[in-house]
Amino acid sequence: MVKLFSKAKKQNTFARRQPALFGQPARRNMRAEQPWQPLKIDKRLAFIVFAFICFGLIFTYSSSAFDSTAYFKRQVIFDALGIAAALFLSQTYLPLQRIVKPLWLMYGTWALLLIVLFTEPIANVHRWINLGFFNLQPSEVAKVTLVIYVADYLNNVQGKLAKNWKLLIKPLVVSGITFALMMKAPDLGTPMLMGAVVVLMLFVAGASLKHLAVLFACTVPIILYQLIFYTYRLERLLSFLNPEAQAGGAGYQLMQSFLAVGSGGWFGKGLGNSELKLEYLPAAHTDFIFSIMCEEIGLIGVLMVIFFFCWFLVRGVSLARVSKNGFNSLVIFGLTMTVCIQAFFNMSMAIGLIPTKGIPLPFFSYGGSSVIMTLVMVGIILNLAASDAAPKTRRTDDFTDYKNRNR
Amino acid sequence: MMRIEINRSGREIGQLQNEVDIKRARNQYLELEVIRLQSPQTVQQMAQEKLHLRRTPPQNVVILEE
Amino acid sequence: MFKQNSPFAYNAKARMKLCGLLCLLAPLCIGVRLFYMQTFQHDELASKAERAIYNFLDEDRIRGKIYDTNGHFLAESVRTHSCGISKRYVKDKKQTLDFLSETLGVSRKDIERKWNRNRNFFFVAKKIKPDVYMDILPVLRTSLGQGLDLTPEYERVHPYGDSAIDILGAANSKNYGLSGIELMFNSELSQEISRRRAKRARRGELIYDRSLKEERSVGSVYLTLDILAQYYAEEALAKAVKDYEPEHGLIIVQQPQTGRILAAASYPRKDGQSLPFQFTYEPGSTFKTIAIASALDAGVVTINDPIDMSGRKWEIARGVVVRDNQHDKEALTIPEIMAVSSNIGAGKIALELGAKNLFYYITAFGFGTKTDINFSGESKGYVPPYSKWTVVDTATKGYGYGIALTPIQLIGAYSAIANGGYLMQPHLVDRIEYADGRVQKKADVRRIRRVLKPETVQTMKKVLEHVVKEGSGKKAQIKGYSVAGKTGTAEKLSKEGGYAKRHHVVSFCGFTPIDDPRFTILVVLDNPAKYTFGGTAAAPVFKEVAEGLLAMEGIAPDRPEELQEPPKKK
Repeated sequence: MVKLFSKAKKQNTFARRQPALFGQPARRNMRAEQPWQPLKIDKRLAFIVFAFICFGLIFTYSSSAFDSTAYFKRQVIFDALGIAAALFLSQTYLPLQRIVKPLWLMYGTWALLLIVLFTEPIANVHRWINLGFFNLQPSEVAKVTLVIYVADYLNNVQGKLAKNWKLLIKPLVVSGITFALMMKAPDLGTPMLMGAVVVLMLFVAGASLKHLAVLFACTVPIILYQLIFYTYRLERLLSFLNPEAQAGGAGYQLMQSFLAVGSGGWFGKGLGNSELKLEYLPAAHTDFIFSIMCEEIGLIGVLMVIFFFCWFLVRGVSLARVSKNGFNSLVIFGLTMTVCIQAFFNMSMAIGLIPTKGIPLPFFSYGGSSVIMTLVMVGIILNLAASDAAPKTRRTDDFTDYKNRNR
Repeated sequence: MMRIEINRSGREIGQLQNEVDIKRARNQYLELEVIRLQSPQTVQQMAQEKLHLRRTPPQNVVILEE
Repeated sequence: MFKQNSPFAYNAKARMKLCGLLCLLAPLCIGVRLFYMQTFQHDELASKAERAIYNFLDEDRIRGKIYDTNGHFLAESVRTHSCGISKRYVKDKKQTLDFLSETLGVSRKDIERKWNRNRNFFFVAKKIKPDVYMDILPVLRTSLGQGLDLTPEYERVHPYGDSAIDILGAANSKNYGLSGIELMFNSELSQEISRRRAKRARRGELIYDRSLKEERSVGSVYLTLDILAQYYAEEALAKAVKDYEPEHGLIIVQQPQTGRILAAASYPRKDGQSLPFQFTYEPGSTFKTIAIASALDAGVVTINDPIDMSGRKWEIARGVVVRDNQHDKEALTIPEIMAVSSNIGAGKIALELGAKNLFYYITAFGFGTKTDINFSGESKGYVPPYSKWTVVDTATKGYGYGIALTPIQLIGAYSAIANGGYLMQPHLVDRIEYADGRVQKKADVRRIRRVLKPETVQTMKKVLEHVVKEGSGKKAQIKGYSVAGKTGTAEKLSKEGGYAKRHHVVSFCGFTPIDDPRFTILVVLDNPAKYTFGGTAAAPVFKEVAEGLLAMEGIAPDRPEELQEPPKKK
């Protein structure tokens, strides 16, 4: 167990000396002479993500009952775009990051969030901006930018958090504004998710538990207010507590999800054999795709998927721990957490551990913004992880290295 | 994967079948109207009311062909 | 980069680890819960899912048609729809309701009332016609149609109105036969859908599965009825009902050569309740034909034997007197007996024949047993075994009391006389045609047995012709055609046990033309409001029906000399 998060191997960062050849002096800085090589991508992570994408596509295909090709095709395109973005970012992110200040990213995000409030509501919520070909979901963008911003801030502020709680204000305000804009949408799920991530990042960066407890106490009333004020959320909560009673309306979806999950058995009914997706389970290809997965690949298959997510989590955190740069570390950590917590939220929702929220399952749920932004996250993680390995300096002064030099 | 295709085709078939059924039902309905209008009751009624005809006794029936 | 001295750099890693571990708790819980669901709740959930999705195609059964003998269909299943609303899914109440009330022709207020009365789902209109359905269908996919539901139902439609409904019977909207032919041939008319699975998506659309095949084993029933003959019969009966207001009335038309029933009308007309098969009564004078024919056939009397009328007051046994009030003769021969319908004459002849012989002939004619038609509710009448007959019993059977029979039995007996002496198997159903091409014939001409000798038949035909020409059946005469028949007026057994003067059953049974009889027609009116006789009330009905049928079949007059105008005298 202790070794769980330490798998990431440290790359050897000492500059290599080319051994002296006859007649030629030993060269020291080889890097300058090497042609530009692509940064090494962490293989394991890439493998996991690739597997996710493939499975995601399979399930998208199978879970859309009638116009399967339409959803599938679009998902393929989104995946392609996302992979392209990921690969691109995995090489170029860090330099780009230097150009654009995180705060500006936040401003941009807020602009998007504001815009979406004024566009036409789709299904009664203002969550998407209709860009013609696909709908952009600003809240997805916000996830990434918020993590980056918070990481950047914490990086600059590290060490002082435990003592000075005033330092917490700025990130909280920024997050708060973001969340408020998102909740206007109305969208309660994503703010809650990001709230959890931000809190974890703060914790990791050194905020004391005391402060965090106070913070939590302050947010509870807001949450309650949000819940009760919006009746449909209350309904959802009630139906969560007692789904059978509400089987007609609000609890219908959950009941159907249960049926799907439960009828899968150990090995599932086989790919494509899900019956509930035939309009019985609303949002079968987005939020509840997990239930369909249960039904089709059974307990064994689903456990494998969960295992993959866990693997992702472990890998990401390892990379975060290994990274030398505080900023990198926090970003990797934050993004990993985002993806994994979102996945676990979604799964818990589908099986009734959590009241239903509109949170999609990363990589699997159909949705352009979700797929692209998730892959963007992956790209950033890969980039930051790889750039740690690139020998930028000949020596490091990371004391952790010193401590762990024997590993 | 085959399974999904089958499902989809099945659904399409169901939809087409539905349409066929509907068209047939409409046809049926019209046919029924025709028969109803040709039924002895209607014919007799129409003949009496509109053309002021009576039923002729069998003695008056002339058979042209055997 | 983390500062070297800051203690929290180390903490960061540890904290990350902590967070990671915390996060891993979640999938653990998920896994446990999933495990729980799969192993313990699996069965329960799976069966619930099954029930919701897999629907046996009960409602989609096509029912076979019922045709008359010429191929006009009398009953057919039409797919109608019912439009329902699920309140919860309706987006724009006002728009949707407006649209519905306009398309369906239902007042908006009614819809609103139903809306307020129901919690979620209710029907707006049932049995929507196809063209209306076509209007609604495209709307279903738009936002206007959210929450609307069209469920298919099957309705049995009768293009000829309720003509012959007493024979046809009824079928409910689940396409199940309830009475009459619909019930009797329910399994042939229904489609055998074996329990193959078809999935049904939430909005009720069928998704054909690989293993679903429509098994076309639906059969269509062709009756021997002729809808035009039925129409004539029903019209004539309706007229008689209007004129005489009986409690019940019935008319049967049979083809004596083949035994086929061409028409069977009842009053009152209720689906599945066909009086010709179900009504039992004491026949009265129409039964004299059978008794006298039997006696002639057995040779105990001859056609010209005079029968003593005993001064028109005949004491059969102590205390039982039979009177003949309709004539003033001392003795009558058989033709005269039949013409005036003398009870004394018939009773004495019956006694001559004897109980055993009479019983033999009665059963030979088919009384006391059900016909093979076995219409639902058909009765077999009542003929007591001859060993129980007293002298009075024997005599009264001569003129039609003391036994109960059904009209179908009686007409079979008359047809036996008409066709030369054979009791024919009556048929109501001609054939059943299946969708896969099979034809199952059900109406083969079948002689059950020979009942009378040919000479007897000839004699009886003359006798019956005489009844119509000169006797009580004058009103049944048809100009230009030979008609044979017998009237009947029977007093009904009243509740107190005796014979009530006013409760009576009048009837007439006959056939035409005589030499090559094409129709045997029986008319029975039960308890007309005014006291009448068979000759007055029933015989004209016979004439009306017969005229219509003769015209329908294009049968030329066989007594054309009657049609000629007497030469004009200058």
